[in-house]
Amino acid sequence: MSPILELRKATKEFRGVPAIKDIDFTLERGEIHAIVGENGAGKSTLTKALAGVHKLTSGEMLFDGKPMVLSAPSEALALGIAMVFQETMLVPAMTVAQNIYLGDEKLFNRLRGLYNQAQQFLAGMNFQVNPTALVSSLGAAHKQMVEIARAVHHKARIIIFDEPTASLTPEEKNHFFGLVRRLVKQDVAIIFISHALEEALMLADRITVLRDGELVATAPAREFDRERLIQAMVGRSLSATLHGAAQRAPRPYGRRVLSVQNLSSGSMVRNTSFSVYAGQIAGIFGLVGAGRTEMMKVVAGVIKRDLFYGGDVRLDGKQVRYRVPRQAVRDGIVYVTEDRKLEGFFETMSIAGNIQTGDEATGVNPLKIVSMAKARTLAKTWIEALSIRAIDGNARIIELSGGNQQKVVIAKSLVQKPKLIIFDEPTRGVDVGAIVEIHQLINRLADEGFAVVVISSYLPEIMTLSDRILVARQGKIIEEMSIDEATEQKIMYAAVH
Amino acid sequence: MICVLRRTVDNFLGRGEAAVTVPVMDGPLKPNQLLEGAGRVLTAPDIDNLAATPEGMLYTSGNALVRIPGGEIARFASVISCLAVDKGGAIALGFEAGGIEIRGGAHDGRRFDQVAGKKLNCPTAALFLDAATLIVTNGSTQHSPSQWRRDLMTLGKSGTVWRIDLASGNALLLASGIAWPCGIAVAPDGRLFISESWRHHVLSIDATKASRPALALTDPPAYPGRIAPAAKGGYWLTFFSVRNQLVEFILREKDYRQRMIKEVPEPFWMAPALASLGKFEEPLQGSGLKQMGILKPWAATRSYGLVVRCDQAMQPTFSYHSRADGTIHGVTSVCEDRSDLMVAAKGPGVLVRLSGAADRPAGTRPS
Repeated sequence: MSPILELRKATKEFRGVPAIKDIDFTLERGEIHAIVGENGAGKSTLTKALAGVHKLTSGEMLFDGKPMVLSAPSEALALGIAMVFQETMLVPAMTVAQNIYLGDEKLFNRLRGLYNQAQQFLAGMNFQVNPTALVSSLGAAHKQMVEIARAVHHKARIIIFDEPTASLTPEEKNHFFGLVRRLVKQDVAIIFISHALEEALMLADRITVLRDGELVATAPAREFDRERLIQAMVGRSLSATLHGAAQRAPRPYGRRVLSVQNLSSGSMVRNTSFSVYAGQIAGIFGLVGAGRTEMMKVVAGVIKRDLFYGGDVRLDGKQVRYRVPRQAVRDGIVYVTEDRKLEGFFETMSIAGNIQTGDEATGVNPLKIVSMAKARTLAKTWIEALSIRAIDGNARIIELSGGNQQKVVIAKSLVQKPKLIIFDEPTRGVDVGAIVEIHQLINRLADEGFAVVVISSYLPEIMTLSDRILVARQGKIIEEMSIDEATEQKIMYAAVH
Repeated sequence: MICVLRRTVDNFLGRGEAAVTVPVMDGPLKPNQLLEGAGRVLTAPDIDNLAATPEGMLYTSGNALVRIPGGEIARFASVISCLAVDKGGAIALGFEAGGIEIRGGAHDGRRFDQVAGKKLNCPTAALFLDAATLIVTNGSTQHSPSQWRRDLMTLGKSGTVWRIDLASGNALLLASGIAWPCGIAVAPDGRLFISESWRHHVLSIDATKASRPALALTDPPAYPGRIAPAAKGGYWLTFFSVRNQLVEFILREKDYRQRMIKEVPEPFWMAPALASLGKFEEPLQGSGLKQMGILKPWAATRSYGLVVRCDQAMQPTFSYHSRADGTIHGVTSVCEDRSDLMVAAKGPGVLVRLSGAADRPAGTRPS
C-alpha cells in the first residue's frame, strides 16, 4: 500500500534562500511521525508545505499515491490534511463552540444546539473546556485543546501538530497522547513536531530529523535515544548541558530582594507568601492554573492585587504597590512574558526598535526623543551580548527564529537595568541550541548577583536552572525545596497533592 | 494631612501598615528541627549571656555568673541582664535593677548607673570595643530588661546606644529612639550592628559619633536579639521569639492592648514569649492537627527557637530551628566553643550544643 503522503526532492525557497532542500519524506497510514530539529531547521516550512500554506519551489507531493499541488490551506483541508499551529489560529472574540464549528456553519445556526454538540464533542475527548467561554478568556493550554478539537472535528485523515504539548500540563499531555493514539486507531496519520524529545521518543512510530533545511535522518523511533537525537539535530552533544541534573550545590543566598507576604489577587492568587534572594535562581513550578504566572504578574504590576487586604509586596524591604508595570520597571522589576508574540515584542518593529522601547519604559527619556543612531548602537551591543543571530539591528523581529526572538525579549528587559528578573517559560517554543544559550544567560545573570525567578512547567528545566524550587498549587506557594534535596517526584507530588 | 488620609485609607483597605502581614520563613530561614535536636549540655534557670574566655565559657543564671568548667564564680544583688568580655580579661555586667559594672582589668570596680545624665535602667547588651571603650544598649527608658513584653505592648521606642569611655566616664549617645536595642556586634567596616527588636531590623550605626542608622537586615519574621561573631566569618544572630499576624494585629489595636495590659496578668498576654508556661490560662500554642508527622499549629505561635547564621553583611545564610511543638525556645545568646555552637535557650533554661556548627563557613549548610 502506498504511503498516504509523500514528498520527493521537495525544496522551498524564500527569496532564493532554501528553507528546505531536497527533502524525501513519507507518511504511512495510521502512523505517528515526529519531526524534530532546531529552530530554523525547516520543520515549520515542511509542515506548512504539507498543509498548503507554502507552495513548493520544486519537488513533488503525492497524496494517496497521486501527484497533487496545494495552493491554499483550504485545499489541504478538503483533502483531509489539518494543521494545529503552535500559535493558535482561533478567533479570540468568538466562543469555543463557534471556533470549533468555524467554516462549517449552516445558513441558520442555533447557538444552544451548537453548544450542546460542542460540549459532547469536547467531553468525548476528555477536554475540560466550557464551550460557551470566549476564546480570549482561555489560557494557553485550553486554547490548544480547542485547536485540537477543531482539527479532529474536520475529520482529518492527516493531522499535523506543531508543538502541541508546549502549554499542556502532565495530565493534559496524557489526555492528548491518549487522543492521538485513538486517532491513529481510526487510521488517521499524525505528524508531530516537538522540542520535547522524550515525547517524540515515547509517542512516535518514526522520527525524522531536520538540520539546516536538510533531512538528516529518518528511522523508527526505537532506533533513537535522546543523545542520538540531539546529536543528529545539532551535530554536537548537548545532553549534559540540557540536563544538568548532576548533583550540584545551590548558590549561596544573597540579600532578600523580594518579600511577598499574604498576597491575594482574585481566585488565582490566594494568600501566598514567598521570598526571592539576590544571586540565586528561584524556580517556580506548578501545573497550569496553579497561579504561578499570576503571582509574579502582581509583583511586576501587570495585574493588580485585591483591593481589600490584598497583602504586601516588599522590594529591598520597602513596601511597593504598582498600578502599572512601568512603576515596577523603574524600581527594577522586569517580567519576561511567557507569550512573547502577544506581550513580548512589537512584531512590526525591528530588533533595535524593540530594544529601544524597553529602554524607554524606564522613563529616563521623558521627552521621548529617540536617536535612531543610539538605538542601533544599543541593539548592536545587545545582539553581541546575547548572541542574537540576525543580520543587524534593523532586521524585523518577526523574521527571527523563536530562540532569537526570545533573546530580543530578554534584551528588551535587561536594558532596563533590573534587580529582579522574572522569566516566565523562558524556553517555550525555542529549539535545543537556543535553550542552552538562554539557560547560560539566566545562570550568568544569577552569578552576576541579580535576583532571578524562572517560572516553568517543564520539570527538567526547573531542575537544571534553579537553586531553590518553589512549588505553586491553587494560587499558593505550598512547598520550597533546595536543588540538592529536590527530585522530580517530590516536586510533582507537591504540585499535584 | 496626606499622611493621615493615607493611614485612614490604608486602614479601610487593609494595606500599608494595616496590611498586618509577616514575612514567611523561607530560603535560609526555612524551618528545620536542628536546634530541637541539639544535644543538651545543662539545665540552669534563666540561663543567658554566653561569653567565651580563655578559662572557659561564662554564662549567667539569674543573679549568678557561672563558668564552665568551674561552676559559680560570683553572685550579685540583682539579676544579670547583659555580659561582655574583653580580651584583656575585663568583664562588664549589666543588671536588671539598672547600671553597668566592670569586673577585672584596668577599670575593675567601676560602675555606671547613669551616663551623660541619663539613667542606664535597662542594659540589654554590651560590647568592649577595646579595653577602655564599652558600647551599651539601653533597651528602654521606662522598663527594665525583664519587662520586654510590656515595652513591646506599649510600643516602646525609647532605646539608646551609648559609647562609654571607661577611663573618664564620658559617654557619647550613638543612637536614640530605637525600639528595644538588644544586640551589638562590630561590622567588618568598623561600624556597629545593632538589633532593633520591635521594628524587626538590624541597624548599622557609626561607632564613633551619633549618626543616622542604616538598615543592615530588614523585616525578618522574628524578633532579633543578641549578635555574636562567627570565627569563620559572619555572625550568629539570635531571635528570642517569632512574629505572627495575631500579635501584629494586636500591636495595631490600642484599646485592646490597653485593656489586656490592665486586666490580664502579664504571663497570659497574647504576646511573644520565651516559652510556654504549660498553663491553661495562656493563649493556645502548638495545638492543632498532625500532618505527615509534623504538627500544624492553628493557634498562633508565641514562642520559638531560632538561631541564624549570617554573612558579613548580616544577611541570613542558614538557620537552626526549634518549631512551635519543640522545647528549645527563647534563644537569647549564643557563643562558639571551638567547632561547636553553644546556645542558651532562656525559655526552658537549657544550654544546648550544635555540634560542628561553628566549623562551617557562612553559606554552607550541614550535610
